Amino acid sequence: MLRISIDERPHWREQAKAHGFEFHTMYGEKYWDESAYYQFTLKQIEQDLEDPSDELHQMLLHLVDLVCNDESLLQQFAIPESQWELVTRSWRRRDQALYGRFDFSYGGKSPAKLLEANYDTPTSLFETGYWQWLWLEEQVKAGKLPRNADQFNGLQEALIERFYQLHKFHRGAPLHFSCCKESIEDLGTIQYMRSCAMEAGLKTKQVFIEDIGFHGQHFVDLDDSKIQWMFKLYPWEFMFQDEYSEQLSKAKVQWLEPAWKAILSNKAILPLLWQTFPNHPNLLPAYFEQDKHKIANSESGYVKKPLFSREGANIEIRKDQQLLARSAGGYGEEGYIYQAYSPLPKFAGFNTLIGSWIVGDKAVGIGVREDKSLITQDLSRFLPHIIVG
Amino acid sequence: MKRSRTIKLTLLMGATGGLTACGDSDESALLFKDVDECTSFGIEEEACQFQYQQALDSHRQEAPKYASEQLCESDFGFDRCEHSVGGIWRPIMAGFMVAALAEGVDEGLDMMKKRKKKKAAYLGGTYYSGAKPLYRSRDDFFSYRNAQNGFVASAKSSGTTSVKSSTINYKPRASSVSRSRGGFGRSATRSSGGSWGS
Repeated sequence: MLRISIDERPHWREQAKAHGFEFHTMYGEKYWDESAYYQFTLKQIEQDLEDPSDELHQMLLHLVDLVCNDESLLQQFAIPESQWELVTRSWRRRDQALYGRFDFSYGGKSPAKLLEANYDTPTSLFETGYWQWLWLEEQVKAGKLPRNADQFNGLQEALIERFYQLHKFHRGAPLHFSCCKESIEDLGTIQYMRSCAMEAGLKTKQVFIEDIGFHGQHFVDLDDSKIQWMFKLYPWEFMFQDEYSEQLSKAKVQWLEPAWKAILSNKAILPLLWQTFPNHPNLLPAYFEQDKHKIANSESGYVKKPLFSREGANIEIRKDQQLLARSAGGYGEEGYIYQAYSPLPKFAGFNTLIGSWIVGDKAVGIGVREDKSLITQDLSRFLPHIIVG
Repeated sequence: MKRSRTIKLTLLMGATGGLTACGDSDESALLFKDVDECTSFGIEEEACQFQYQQALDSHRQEAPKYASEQLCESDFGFDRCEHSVGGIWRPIMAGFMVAALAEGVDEGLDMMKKRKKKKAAYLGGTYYSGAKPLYRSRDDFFSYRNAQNGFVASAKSSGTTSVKSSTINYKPRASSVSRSRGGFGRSATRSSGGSWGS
């Protein structure tokens, strides 16, 4: 695994604009960065990232089954009791899911270590599935990259295929895509997804989360049409707290991601993984609050993460009683988990993180992010990658 | 090969995607809390009255309707709802908006300055679809919203301001009784940053 500098394509900013990729720069900071790329060997991709992702995915499904059959675990995952029925029923029905993303600490030398699973509302989808692909095509054409350069990136193809499969379960009903107002990143993400769904031949609609209404027995969009099937880029734990939480069990909606994903978008899954699959090469030791002492004085140090946290918020890294890093945010009231600290590999002074995508049940591609900070957050830069050799 | 064979896709990104009307552009508009605010801006009282009445008529047709006062107040706040015929509750009209071409407004005000005799301006210019009612909701009290819960402008921006044409040129929709809206999304405000992806 190498980090290699390369000339930027001179026209990429105009191209980004033409493609509607408006969040390549956010708050004045570069988010998409093509002044360098990461290079992997095929062996690194297949053995170190793809196979472990497939396996971890199966492990996660096993844990969902475990949690759904154990009320004390549902409690430990801070899922409100009033929603247990919704969550467990969606699992017993095997409600279909779309996608997920693992975040790995991996530098090409030792096994990839799972930092967390983003299985409810993962983003950076367009950058991975479309934009870095386009970058590779053009750099090969321009002679800046070898002809045999490949990329681990079947993401877009897999998304289209998956939408097509899901469609068979919902013949006729349009798929509503939804996110919160006022985030161009989230809006861009659902518009990209919607493009993929349309490519698969689906009828689609769009509605903002805040505009959803409830009418008698069902949720409605701004045209007062029934919402029967909906993708939401909005976390389950928020939905469980919102005013409409009571309506969730009344309305018949097929959700993407389904309600059982509430179990997997939760950091409590990390200690449970370690309990169930101890010493698995791709896992880091992780503990609940009550077992904190098992890790508090360990040599590696530890990372304290709230059960619910997004975009790297409210994370604390401690080693030898010292605070190495801390991020701000509004999470934490539900409690924390403690995970062994495994520093991200450094390339050219940056901390590098691999996002590995699952669509359906299959690992289909990766995206690479890097940051000066020890904690990867939503403004960490996204760099393209290639496979050679 | 580990990557997609093709990347061809009709990208909806950056397209309006059905969220806003096609070609949503900035339009200038006049926003006032009431007739007094309108006249103190330098517009003839008669014109202010006329526009206010027109907005009030639209309000009676378009305002969100609720089956009970409590339901209405949960969206618009204590004492911010009125009872209307048929036992239905609706929010009070918090202001009105006159969409006019910028030139029209400017001309009117210029004329007023030039002709010193005339103390107030008459509203010239092209109106879009008549004056529209404005509302202020409990969770976003400092914004004016239209009857479709679309953000129009800050409630502090009385007088001429710029608004999106879609907030003026919407088709009024007969609102159904006992409908509620906006029950999702409030948790999003507890943490900073606008993105809910991860």
